[in-house]
Amino acid sequence: MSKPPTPPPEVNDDTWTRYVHDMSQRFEFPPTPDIAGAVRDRIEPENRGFRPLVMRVVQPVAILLLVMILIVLLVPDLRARAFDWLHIGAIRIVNESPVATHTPELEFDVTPIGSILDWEYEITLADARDRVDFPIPDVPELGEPDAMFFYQLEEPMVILVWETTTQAPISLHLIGSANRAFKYSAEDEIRTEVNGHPALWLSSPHLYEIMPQTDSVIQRFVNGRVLIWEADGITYRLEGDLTLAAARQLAESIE
Amino acid sequence: MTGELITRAAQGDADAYEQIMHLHQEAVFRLAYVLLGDAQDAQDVAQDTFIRAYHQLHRFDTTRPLRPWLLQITRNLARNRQRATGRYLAALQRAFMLKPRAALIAASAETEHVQRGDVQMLWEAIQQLPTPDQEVIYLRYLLDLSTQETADILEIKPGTVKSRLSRALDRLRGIVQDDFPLLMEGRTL
Repeated sequence: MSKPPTPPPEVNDDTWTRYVHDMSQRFEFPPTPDIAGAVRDRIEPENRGFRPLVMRVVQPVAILLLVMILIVLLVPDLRARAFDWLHIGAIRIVNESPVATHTPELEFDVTPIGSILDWEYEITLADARDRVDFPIPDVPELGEPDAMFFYQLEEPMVILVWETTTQAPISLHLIGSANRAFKYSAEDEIRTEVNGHPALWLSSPHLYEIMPQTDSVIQRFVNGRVLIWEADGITYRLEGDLTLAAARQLAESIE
Repeated sequence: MTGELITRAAQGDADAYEQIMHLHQEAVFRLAYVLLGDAQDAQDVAQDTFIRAYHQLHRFDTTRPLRPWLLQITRNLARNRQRATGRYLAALQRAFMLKPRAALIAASAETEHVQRGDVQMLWEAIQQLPTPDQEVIYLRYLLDLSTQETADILEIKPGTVKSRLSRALDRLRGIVQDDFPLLMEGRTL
């Protein structure tokens, strides 16, 4: 038979505290490993080449730049403006006045009008004049257009089309803004003038990009010759199987 | 001196930071060990502590003592580790239950046997305390930290440390008297 527990003796606070403290001091810890060395091995790669202070500055800036670049690339309007500003393939009309003196003689397939724009929203001249607040010009050399198309971008856009018997159709795009259409060309463009307004002549395949909305973009690959200029807040785009001289003459005849 | 080391370390001086680690690695490791009850886990947490501290060093107020700040990080990391595995209390128990046996410094086999048993019973008593009471005993007595350091680590006022410790000891004595009367038979008291 086991001995019954002995009632514990009374101990005062100090004795009890000292007892617990003394017993705790007998706790033996395992040897402390080389933590400093291991940690240094882990942080040294972080320091290699860049100090943390530098990284703390560079890293947020790099992230911010990356985010900004992504935003610019994702928003068509911003992307186009950025390309334009950086002069990366973007072509815009600028206020310079060099006059081109020659037109490259190129063989090319004229782009059918249907591949320029697939829109089938054909309207009459009277309808067009009702829908836009800029004048629909006459082109005396070509007469009445054979067809007219309308499309509501952020700014209204009207396309006049003249069929020809020997050539591909000639089209004149009227965009109610000076800066809504951008062209990207892999080849050199020629700077010229139309009635004193700076203009560009594109005689090689290029990308025609229109932004109907700020969050969308329409792109067409144009394998044709195009004269584009801006006057009085309207962008004009004349396309057809034309030489530069013929295109300028036609453009300057527009009333 | 330490402030200068901290400043240099915050600027990326690895040598300075290594000096700081050598000054504090034992305390950090021991706290991690007490809380986790496993040397490998403690080493991992100690390393993580110094890594985290290194990345936050530029925000540290060099007028304050470094050790409580490091130990606070250690405690948080250890607690997170144990919470994640649901083994926090189990580890606290293991730390005190298993390791003190090896820790006993005995003048003789008989003394060692007696003291090992005392530590074992004392731990069994401590483990019945609420976790905050256990922690304050571990920090104040096992790690022998000051009241102020303990307060900084536990993020409570020094007065609260004293009252919590007093209350913990009272509770511990009651537990020992009720459940571990042999410990009170005067073997080491």
